[in-house]
Amino acid sequence: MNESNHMNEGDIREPANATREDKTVREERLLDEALAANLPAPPLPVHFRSRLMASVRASALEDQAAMRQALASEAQRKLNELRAEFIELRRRTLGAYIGLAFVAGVIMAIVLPPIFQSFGSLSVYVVPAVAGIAGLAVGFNWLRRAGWLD
Amino acid sequence: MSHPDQDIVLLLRDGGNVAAFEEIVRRYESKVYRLCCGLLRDRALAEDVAQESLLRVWKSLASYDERAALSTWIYTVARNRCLTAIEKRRTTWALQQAAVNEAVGESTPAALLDEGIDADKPALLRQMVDQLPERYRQTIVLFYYEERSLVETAAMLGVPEGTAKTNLHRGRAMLLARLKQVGLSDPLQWLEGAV
Repeated sequence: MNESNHMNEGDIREPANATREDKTVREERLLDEALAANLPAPPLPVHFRSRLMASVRASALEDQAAMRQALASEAQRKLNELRAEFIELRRRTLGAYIGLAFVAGVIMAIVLPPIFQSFGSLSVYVVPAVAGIAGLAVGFNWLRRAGWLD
Repeated sequence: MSHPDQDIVLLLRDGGNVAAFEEIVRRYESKVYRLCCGLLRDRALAEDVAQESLLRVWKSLASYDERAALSTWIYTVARNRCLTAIEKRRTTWALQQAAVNEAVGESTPAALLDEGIDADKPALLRQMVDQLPERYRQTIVLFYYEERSLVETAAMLGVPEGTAKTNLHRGRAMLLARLKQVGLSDPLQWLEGAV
């Protein structure tokens, strides 16, 4: 009996609930349709792709130009470095020449008088011979150090 | 499971960047443009930002490391460009917004309905959508731009599908509530006219 009462109550309430639900569902469906109808996807602008591809090409050119500029400045930097090194080398060489001439002068001043005293007129042969031997010794040492005699 | 952009990824692995980019453009240009439109609300600006985004994709193509899906990566690039554009033009935007608000103030939906004007229903509906909180507006707009694809909408916005679904539901509920709020005794009848 109770069960049948519940059934009856349910039967009475169901249409009201169903109507409310129907209305909500219908509202949602209509809103969905209204939004779909009124929010269409914006079409892609006509020249979108051609404009994009032009930008891509321009950017590639810009990249090439930037790379070329970077390479040119790198080459210029290297060249400047080489030039600076060359100037430094020339300075050192000049310094070495001056130093050598000075040392040679000192050696001559010290060594020549005893040689002339010992060898007399033969000194004109002895001095170039000693100089030649010293030169050969230095040259030999230089060649050995450079690894040319290994 | 084979990924939808697997062919592009393979092209990239083989060093075919140009062919890969052409395919990306063919497949994603509209989506990126629509995403920019959805986020920026300004079609001219959206076009510029979509161009910039795809150009950025082209320049960064060599650095794509496959950690994320290609579509996710492209949408992330586009969203970031949109955010930069919004940030850049914040001052201008604020000024424009003030102007829009002023204009809106002159013809709010309620005002139009109160005046008994048979207002342009589609325009009114779009205006109501525009007035939704940003996250709901973006979700709703992109959902309908993408032909009701929740997966695509979520991917474009970079949010989980569940979040997109919740935002969509809340946004639509808010719209219905606003329709009733603006004095429409029967939103059903009004909506029927707006379809």
